Amino acid sequence: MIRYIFQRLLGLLPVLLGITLLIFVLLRLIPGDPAVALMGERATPAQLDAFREQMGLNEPLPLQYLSFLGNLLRLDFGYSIVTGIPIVAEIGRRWAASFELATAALLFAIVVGIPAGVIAAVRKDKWVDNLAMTGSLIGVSMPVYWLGLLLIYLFAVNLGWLPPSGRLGISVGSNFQTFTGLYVLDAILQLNFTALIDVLAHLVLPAIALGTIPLAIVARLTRSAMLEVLSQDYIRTARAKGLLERWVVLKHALKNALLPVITIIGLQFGALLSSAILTEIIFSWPGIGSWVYKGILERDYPVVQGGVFFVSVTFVLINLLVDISYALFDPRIQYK
Amino acid sequence: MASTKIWLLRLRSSQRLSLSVQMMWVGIVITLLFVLVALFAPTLQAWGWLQNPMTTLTNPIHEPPSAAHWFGTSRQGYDVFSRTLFGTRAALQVVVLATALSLVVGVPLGMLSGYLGGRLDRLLLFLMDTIYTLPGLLLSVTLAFVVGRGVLNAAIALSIAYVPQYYRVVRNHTVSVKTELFIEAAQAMGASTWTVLSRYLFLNVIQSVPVLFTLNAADAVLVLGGLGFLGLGLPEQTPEWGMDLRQALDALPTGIWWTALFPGLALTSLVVGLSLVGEGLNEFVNPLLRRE
Repeated sequence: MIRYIFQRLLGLLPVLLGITLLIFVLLRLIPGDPAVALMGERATPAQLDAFREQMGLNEPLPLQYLSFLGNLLRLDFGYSIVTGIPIVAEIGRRWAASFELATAALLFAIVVGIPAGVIAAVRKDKWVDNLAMTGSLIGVSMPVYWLGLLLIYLFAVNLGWLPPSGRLGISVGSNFQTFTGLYVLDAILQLNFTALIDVLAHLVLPAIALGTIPLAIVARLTRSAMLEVLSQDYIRTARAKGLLERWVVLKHALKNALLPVITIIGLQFGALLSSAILTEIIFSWPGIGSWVYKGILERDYPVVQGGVFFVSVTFVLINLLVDISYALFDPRIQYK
Repeated sequence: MASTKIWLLRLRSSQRLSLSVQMMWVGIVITLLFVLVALFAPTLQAWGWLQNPMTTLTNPIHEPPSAAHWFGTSRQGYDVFSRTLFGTRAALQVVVLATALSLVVGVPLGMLSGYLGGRLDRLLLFLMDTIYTLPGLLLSVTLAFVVGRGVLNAAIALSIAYVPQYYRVVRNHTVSVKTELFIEAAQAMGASTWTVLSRYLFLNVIQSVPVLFTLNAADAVLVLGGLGFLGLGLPEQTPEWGMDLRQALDALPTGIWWTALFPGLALTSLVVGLSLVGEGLNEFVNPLLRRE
């Protein structure tokens, strides 16, 4: 097993190298002079020269790539052109917000998606099934940047039940301490329940908006996995033994149907981190996504590069974790 | 020609088949409707039935839907109905261009890589797998940021995420087909690589491509909207759903819903239509996937 994990980690290296190469090449694709693109049009020729020297832009490309790699290894992503804040510091400050949002969205998808899929499978071709599957088709087709607007209009503007944006209300914000950056956890640790309710209220709408696509995917997959399992012989045997139908479905079928579902849930988590960019803008969520967006608007190149690199690497690492845990849970997989 | 006939036969006999093949017809109708809107929007405008989507000055600002402006007007005084219809044009243009582009790059690369094998194959596989491991939206956003705005630029930004898919399907198909007897026969008769690829391999390795094409088109509509929402993609004034939705976000707290509702509804419907077509096609190109 350890050997298997080691091999998978080793297999990760070329992929990571590929990602750095891709990002490096993309950076060099900017039309015109990268120094001008990075420093802005107003920079003087002397400033540009100094900048080229400092960034090593006068070196040959392979050398530039090597020093780029070296910087990455030392976790040196450079500085934001606009604010001057180191990229690493900004990522450290913001990743928790994105992580919390993605986790909440995934929880929503699991809690609603798996039961919906099970019910749809048990009532195959009945109206519940058709409703769930139509719903999931619309769910995957609805962009988060539309669903988010609809949710804000309905629940924040019209009904006034939930806050439309941000992570924390003003009244709570002043006496709320953060340690981990995960506000839900922070509120629980401090036993501050007014803050907890406020934090959760801020989390609901973005989590639903972001979680809808994975919800639809989880529901569909659970349904098809359940249908396959329910047609197996051992289910017939269980029924023949006179077991309660509920027992057969939940204990005998669902347990076996969940394996592919768990895989897809893990993979969705990585995908969520990238679609969180859009969700964070809609709900003014102070995570990695809204920071990259600001970087895009201000053409702040190091910010975009650092953000994209961070999300890509997280994505690849999470996928690897999923693969390994899949091997742990499924005894049929051989670690060769 | 013969293959077209078989397709039509399958199409006819499939009507009794599964739900998703039936739903495919719904998808085709929806998609055709959008194609018609895209084609005839300029004509409608020429007849004076539709306002110019770029006109702002003569319109009242933020007016709710009325007889004069069916979907209301936006903060800049755009007619939302006209913007929504013209948005179809932008979406279809970019999406067709993007999927065509990834097809034109991915299919030949896949064939060459699979047929020639060796070092080229390994290099391309590595490259494509790297691109494939990354989330598509992120790649497109990065590329769109680098290449700037414009129809072709947006199409290029979208296509980068789809090239590896065509490449992989076609490459794997080529690897399995190239050992068939008819390929060996062609080689023995002295056919050049080009002849083998274009005459004997091509039609045998592209069966799955139409499915990928429609499913990618559905995804591309979503990603293009996402780019627009991020202020990337098409030029500022062009009617495009994603960008219009970004504008709608700012007006939402004051209770202005019409600028958000209609462009999003159009976008979602088009995606539903294309997905239905793609899934229906999938069932019949790959009958093995059909569930009982």
